[in-house]
Amino acid sequence: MRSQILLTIKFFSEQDTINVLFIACVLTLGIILKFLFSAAATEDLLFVLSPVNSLVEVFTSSHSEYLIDEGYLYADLNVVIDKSCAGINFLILCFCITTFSVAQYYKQSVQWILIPVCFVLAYVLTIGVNSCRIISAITLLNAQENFPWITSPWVHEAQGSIFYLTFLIGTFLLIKFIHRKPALKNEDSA
Amino acid sequence: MKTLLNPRWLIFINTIPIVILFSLFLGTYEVIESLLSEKNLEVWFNFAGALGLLWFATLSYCVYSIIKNRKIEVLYGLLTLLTYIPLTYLYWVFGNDLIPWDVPRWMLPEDFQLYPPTFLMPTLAHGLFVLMINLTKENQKPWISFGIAILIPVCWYVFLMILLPMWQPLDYRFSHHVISILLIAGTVVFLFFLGRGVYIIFQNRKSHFLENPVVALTVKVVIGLVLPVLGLHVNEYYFDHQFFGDFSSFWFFAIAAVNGILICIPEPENKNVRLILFLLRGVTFSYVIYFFFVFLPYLPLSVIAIIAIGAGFLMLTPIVLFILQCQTLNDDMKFLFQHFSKKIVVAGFAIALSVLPLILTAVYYSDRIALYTALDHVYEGNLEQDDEQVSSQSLRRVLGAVEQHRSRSNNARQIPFLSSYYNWLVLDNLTLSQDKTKLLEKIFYGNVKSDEPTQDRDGVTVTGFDLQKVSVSSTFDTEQQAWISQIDFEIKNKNLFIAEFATTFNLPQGAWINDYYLTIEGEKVPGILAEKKAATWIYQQIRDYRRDPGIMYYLEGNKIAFRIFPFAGSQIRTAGLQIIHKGQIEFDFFGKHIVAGNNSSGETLKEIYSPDENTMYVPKNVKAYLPEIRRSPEYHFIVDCSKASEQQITSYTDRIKKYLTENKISATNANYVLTNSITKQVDDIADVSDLKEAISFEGGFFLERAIEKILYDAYYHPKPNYPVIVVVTDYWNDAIVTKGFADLSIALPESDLFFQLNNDSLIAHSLIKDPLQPYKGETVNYPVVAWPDKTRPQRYLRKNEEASIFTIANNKNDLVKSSKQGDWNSALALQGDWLNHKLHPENTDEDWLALVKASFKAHTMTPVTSFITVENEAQRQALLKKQEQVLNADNSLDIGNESRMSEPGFFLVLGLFLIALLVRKKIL
Repeated sequence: MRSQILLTIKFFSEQDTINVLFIACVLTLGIILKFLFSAAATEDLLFVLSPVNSLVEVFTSSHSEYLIDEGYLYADLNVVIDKSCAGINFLILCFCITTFSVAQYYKQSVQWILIPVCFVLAYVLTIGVNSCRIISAITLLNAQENFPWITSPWVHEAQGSIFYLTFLIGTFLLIKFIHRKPALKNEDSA
Repeated sequence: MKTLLNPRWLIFINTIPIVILFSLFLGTYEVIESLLSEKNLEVWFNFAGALGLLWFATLSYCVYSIIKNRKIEVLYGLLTLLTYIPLTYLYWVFGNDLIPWDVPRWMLPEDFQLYPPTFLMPTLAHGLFVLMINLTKENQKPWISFGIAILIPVCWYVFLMILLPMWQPLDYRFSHHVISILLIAGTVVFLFFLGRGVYIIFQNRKSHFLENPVVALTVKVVIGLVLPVLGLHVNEYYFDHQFFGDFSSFWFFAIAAVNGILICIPEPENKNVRLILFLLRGVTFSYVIYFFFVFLPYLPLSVIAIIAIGAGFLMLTPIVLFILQCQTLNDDMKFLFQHFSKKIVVAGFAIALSVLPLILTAVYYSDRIALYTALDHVYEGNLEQDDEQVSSQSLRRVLGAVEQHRSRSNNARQIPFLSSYYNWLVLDNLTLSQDKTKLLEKIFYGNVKSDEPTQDRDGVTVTGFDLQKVSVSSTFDTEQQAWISQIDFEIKNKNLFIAEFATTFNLPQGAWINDYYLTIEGEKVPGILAEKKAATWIYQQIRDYRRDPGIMYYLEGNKIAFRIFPFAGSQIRTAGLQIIHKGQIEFDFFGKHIVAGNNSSGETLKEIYSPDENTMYVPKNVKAYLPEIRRSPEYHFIVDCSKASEQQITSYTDRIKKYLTENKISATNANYVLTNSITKQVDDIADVSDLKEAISFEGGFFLERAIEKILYDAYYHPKPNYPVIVVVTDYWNDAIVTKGFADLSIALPESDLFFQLNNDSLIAHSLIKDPLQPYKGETVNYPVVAWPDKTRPQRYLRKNEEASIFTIANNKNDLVKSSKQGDWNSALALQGDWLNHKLHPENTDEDWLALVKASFKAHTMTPVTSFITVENEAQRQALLKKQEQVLNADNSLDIGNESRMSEPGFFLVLGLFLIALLVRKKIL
């Protein structure tokens, strides 16, 4: 096993082709994004919240009202989608994971171009995954009359974690699958 | 030990601790930033830059070493010590520039000074290990290292006793720095040689004297058993827990002894016995890890302690024990891997390691449950249902524990880390005041002696001030049909010294304060509407520092406290408030009669429903036309059934019977409430044995709860009879009433009094003010009117010159959403919600946060909020931080009315993802 990349990065790569500067840059970018979004207000996160809200509206057939400083309020569902629901944690994790997973299959000169590409990919995935997470959480809330414990914070946390984890691992495996080595048959014939 | 040369360790030893240190400093910096001068800021940035640079350099080296598959080299250890030690030293030297003396200490987190040593010490210790391992050759003699190590404190002793008194340097600062640097260098060299000596012993033990079972056992007994127990003993009896922490609990000694015995047990050859021994050692290992971290910051002090009192070796015990136990566990693992699957051994160890933390958490959590059950009973008891008995045994233990973990003074130390954990888990980082602890003890045990009555600062009106000018300007808002009155005060301190202005005033019904300002250094500073507990806490802190706060908040009913501090001698200060009201209002403020608005507009001739239709406002004009009625009295005898009254119960029942007979009161008109920490209603008191069966005579006499229940019943079930409350006790001074009942006075329109049955006569007490003191005024029975009419009365109201506000429903509406800023109707809804909250304290968790938020939204002061002015940005930040802490005190309060679709935590998902990858890579 030759891959000796920094702690977590080690687990992503099968080949030893990611340079240190690239790793440092992506990690720094991730940390900066985390700090930046932690300090952001709900208004600053509308670029993620707004599309998520539209999807939730469509799937739940309800209408939301945007309240300044509060976020999107679904009066009929008694639900609020605000800054804490934006999916920023997923965006950052997804961005880092996709970048590291994809980068190892490309030359070092190409790796830098992958950063914006992976960010866009992570953004699109975030919209989808976060919408799914919220829609399923709302569905779960409907069962609270029979199962009151469903509203407890740990259930919500667990449900969100399962969603995020499933999609993160799925994305990771999908990238591996797409970049899998050519079949032996082809190699032989070549 | 050589695994410490793996560069991955740097992530845990350096990268993560410094990131945590950065975030802790950032939080503090945000609060005090505005109080720092340019010079202070420069020092902050220099330190942040230096630390950031070192962090980045270490991280880069770590990444480089991992990629190149290299071990940590000797140069790293040397550079680490040469850079981090000066940084730590400079932190102490420039401590006063980082946190100037004029920054109030309450703005800083506890143990702020210990943050850098705690988080940088792992790096320093690791640096030393790296040097030690790299500079030790095989088959070296340990005694040389030990000899040099012992020589260092000896040299220091000689230096301090003989050379230092003769040394007369030119500048004292020079000598100060030289001695400090020599001391640090000496400490590093001492620890290096001491550590190297221990390392050589363990490295060569295969062919060494430690192979001799007697010697090995002796070393283990000394390091594992004698020194830890001796250290705990010295800490308790010689330091009196003042320095390192309070480890006086029996369990600290017991686990130390058990751990020592487990270490000393010779390694058995039987694999199953060895596995059990390994797991037991794993259980106590968490205890060893705890002490390792507690004593790590004090590592450099060990040399000083050795020089001074020779006890420094005890300070090193946790660290040496940690190394010894690591080595023992490592040997156990190597043996067990040959007989069991790796996964089973590692998983078993992980479970064993978590046993003590889990037990501790479970014990703390049970404390939390017991404490909250008791607090719920006292502060959020259901007034409609019968009380449930609270287990006083577990509560007694909790109150003892709370007392132990409380910060009592600067000298007394708590249990390091565990007290913070306890305060976080059990008390939500808030404190349980001594008053509350005493109240709980008094209610549930009843044997606490009453303190001397202290003067209630809240209700004080000071003298020595002159209200020089009051100006009132009222405008009528036609849109909401209400008056908005601005009242400005000019107050002069007639004293020649600094004083605090404090007064109280009664706001008329249907009038609410929705703005406030105080002039500070010629500038009108608007009041911040804040959560009441946070605001009063901040006011107290600022007042202690003699800064410029002003505060206004509800006491009871419509009584409002108004305080400003400081007033210099003869100083004149101005303040003002804005009131929103329907008709003309009149009230007294510091001896002046204030009239605002007039009756030509605003006051209507019909009742007004609040927007949520929960609350009703009946103006005085309407009350004037309602039919007046006279209700007959119905007696409620509250019988003291506390522990102290067990022998008196027969005398109490005789007294009641005699009173009923003498006053010709029918038995149908008498109700009996047996009261101790709980209340129980009974129909008859004829047979004392029945009473003793109904309630066990224990705890204190919680009179307040019994009165609240009677008022609750009178409010929700208005009858043609009005309640007369009569208390029967021989221990009046031990009766527990913490506050007046002004908020519930609407339930008893005929009278503001209740009575104490003293042998043959009744002694009157006020329900509104000082309920435990005898009422000296005239006993008046007020005329009442029936609303909406005489035939089907829903509520009885006092006939007077004031409006009445009462609730007609308790529908759960979104008060926050419907509240509008500066709106009279929103304020009415808030008032009704407050009354519902008082009548249903059991719903506090759900209602309180919404009430606070709705008050913010309507920008109207309610009994749960307070207007406060602060002098600067730092105080405002501190207020907001405290407020956030208070608002998040209970997890269930986080949710509010709506469910938030918050995403899971960043590190939780990251951690789970990494675990998944580790599993995939078959590392786990």
